[in-house]
Amino acid sequence: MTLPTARAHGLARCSRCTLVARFDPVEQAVTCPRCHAKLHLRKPQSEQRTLAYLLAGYALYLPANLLPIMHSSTIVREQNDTILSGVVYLWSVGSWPLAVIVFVASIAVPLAKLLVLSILLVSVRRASAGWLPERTTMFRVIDFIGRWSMLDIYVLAVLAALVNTPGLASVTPGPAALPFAAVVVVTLLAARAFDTRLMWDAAGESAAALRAPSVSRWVTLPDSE
Amino acid sequence: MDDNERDAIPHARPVPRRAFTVPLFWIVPLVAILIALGLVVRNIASEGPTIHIRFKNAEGIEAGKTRIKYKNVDIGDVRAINLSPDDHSVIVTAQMSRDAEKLLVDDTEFWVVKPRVAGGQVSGLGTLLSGAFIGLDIGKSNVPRRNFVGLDVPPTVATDDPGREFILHGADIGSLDLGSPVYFRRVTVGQVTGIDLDQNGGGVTLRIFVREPYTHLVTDNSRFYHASGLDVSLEPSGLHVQTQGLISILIGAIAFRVPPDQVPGPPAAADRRFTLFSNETAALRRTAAEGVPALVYFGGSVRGLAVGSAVDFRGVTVGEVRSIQVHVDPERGQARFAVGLSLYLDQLTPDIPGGSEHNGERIAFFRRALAHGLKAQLRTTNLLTGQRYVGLDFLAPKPGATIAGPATDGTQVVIPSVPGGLENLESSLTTIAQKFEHLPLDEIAHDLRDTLASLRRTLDDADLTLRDVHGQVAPELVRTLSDARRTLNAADSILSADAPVQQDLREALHQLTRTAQSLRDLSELVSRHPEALLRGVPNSPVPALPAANPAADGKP
Repeated sequence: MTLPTARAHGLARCSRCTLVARFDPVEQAVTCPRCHAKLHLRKPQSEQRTLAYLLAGYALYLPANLLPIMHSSTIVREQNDTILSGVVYLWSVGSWPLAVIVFVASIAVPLAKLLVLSILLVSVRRASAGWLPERTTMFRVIDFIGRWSMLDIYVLAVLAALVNTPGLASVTPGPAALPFAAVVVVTLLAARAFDTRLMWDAAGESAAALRAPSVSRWVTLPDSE
Repeated sequence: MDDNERDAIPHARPVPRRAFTVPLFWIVPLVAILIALGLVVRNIASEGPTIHIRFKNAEGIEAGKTRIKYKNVDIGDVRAINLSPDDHSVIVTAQMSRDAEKLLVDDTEFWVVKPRVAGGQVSGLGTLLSGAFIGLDIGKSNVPRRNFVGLDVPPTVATDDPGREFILHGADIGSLDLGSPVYFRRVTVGQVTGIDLDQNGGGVTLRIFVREPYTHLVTDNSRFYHASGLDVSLEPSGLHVQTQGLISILIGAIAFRVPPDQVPGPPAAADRRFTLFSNETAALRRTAAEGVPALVYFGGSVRGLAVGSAVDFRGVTVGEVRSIQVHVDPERGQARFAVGLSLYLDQLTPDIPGGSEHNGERIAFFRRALAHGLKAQLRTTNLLTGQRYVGLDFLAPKPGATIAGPATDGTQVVIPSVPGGLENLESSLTTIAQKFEHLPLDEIAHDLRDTLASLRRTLDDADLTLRDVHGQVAPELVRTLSDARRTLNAADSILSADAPVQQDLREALHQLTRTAQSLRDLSELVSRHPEALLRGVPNSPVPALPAANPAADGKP
């Protein structure tokens, strides 16, 4: 008997009504006996979903950063700014704290989320057993900071609404605004689809290969009932 | 956890698994990839060709900021500005958008739009704040092109403006500039679009653009002229100042019109060539083709006569001078001037219509006129400026004075000339001067001096004589005069009314009257009573006598 996970006990908690039900994995699909919501031991299709959202995130990350995100026109000049050129501009005019914030929030964080989730996903695939608490912390961190990437979009929305004096100055979202927002949303979805328990499960299996109790045994345990 | 607790946990309810579930979440990356690809593809696709424009300098152009606009629509932006390999100009590299590709043809023109004042108009004010941009005007060619040479000044007329271009050739451009207006009846109907000096420097060629709907006003017989400045002329009716408007004085202008004695011809085709005259008068002058050529030989100086001088027939301009040529005869040491005229026959006679088919009739007309003494004379228009004109008139032949060249032949009318008024005066003055020259003025002066000397002597003598008269004659004269006065006084006293002589005389006259009365009475008595002479007067008074005597009747 190894660590007493719910799964090892053949138990699943309904995510809707918090009822714990005995899970019979032989039956392909089960529902909560109380609220009839579907019961899952782990987030369903977690790896596939995360992978799909990650791919979407990567695909959208390129246009989000390469295309101009903001089109500002004043009577003096018209300008298209990408996120990076905005950071460079802020840095060049001396407001480097702002530049750092924008860089972190708009470039580093989405990329970090994509990379971290990718690493976690690979580690599940490879059933890696190392750094499990650290990896879980990493996930918690990116799950927490993920929404802060929307900062740029908020700023843009506010600017577009405020700076709108036709003829004098106006700010309109550029073609990168939509992909950028999509990146943030998709990474949030990816983080939500990812189930950290899978890391522990995988580590448990590989650990089981090394140690006596195998996870497969725990999985089949309810059958013996 | 023991088994009792475990038994208390309800079993999950099994449900039949769906046969097949589509993993819908895979749509998300598909859509994302499609969007990303779409954006990238659109961005790449909207990247049109890269072009290079050569400018004289890069004033106002900034890499990455300056746009290229057509009709104020962004169709590209400047990516780089480099010096040309020969360092004489700059090469602007621009990234055009995809849909601008068809605009980039062989005769597309680029220029830098910046604030500019030309042709009386201010343009490009908007670029004061926004910075310059590069404008372009699409060409008509179909040959694509990627390397262009930018214009220094923007073309004043866009290619797609409806209208027609014409070519003017003139002596100079006056104060014209690109964009100067073209007037018709002082309405702006076009602009000057190009100014070029001729290759040989012999004039200027201008391109003008006349906008629709005015192109039909340019006819084949239209005359173009500078309307640039003031045209001041002193005419018999007063001082005439003519101008096309203040703007045209400042920036120059071209005007055109059909000569007033002609009907407008068919509309001129595009690119037709016209002559640009220096002013309206010159423009409306008839062309050589419209007149009958004639030749006059003059003997004296033709100073004051110029090409364009009028030919006048009793006050009516009937032609103008076309050419003046000198024929020097070194053998005889003489010269004469062959003055070519162009005569407007319609001013001389309404009978012969124009057209070359009537040439014979014209020649015959002049032959007859010449036979009746038609002569040409050089006359002075203005004594101050010495301007002269050729006057035609029927003049009595003056033998010897007439200068006739070769006789009028089949093609050329030669009009004999007689010396003009001033010429006559001149020759008379010359004759007088010559006579003066022959006068023995020195001798005359000498004689005159002698004469004057003797006159003075004579006067001196006269003075002496008079002094004598004063001394001797005068006192005598005074005495004589007083004697005369005394005599007259005596006469006066004799003749006065109360003088004795007078009274005696009057008495005598009285007596004489009475005597005459008596004599008359006697004669009457005798005539009535002749017998009285013999018998004496009858005693009884004759009753008839007093009645018959009116004198006795009158006396009581």
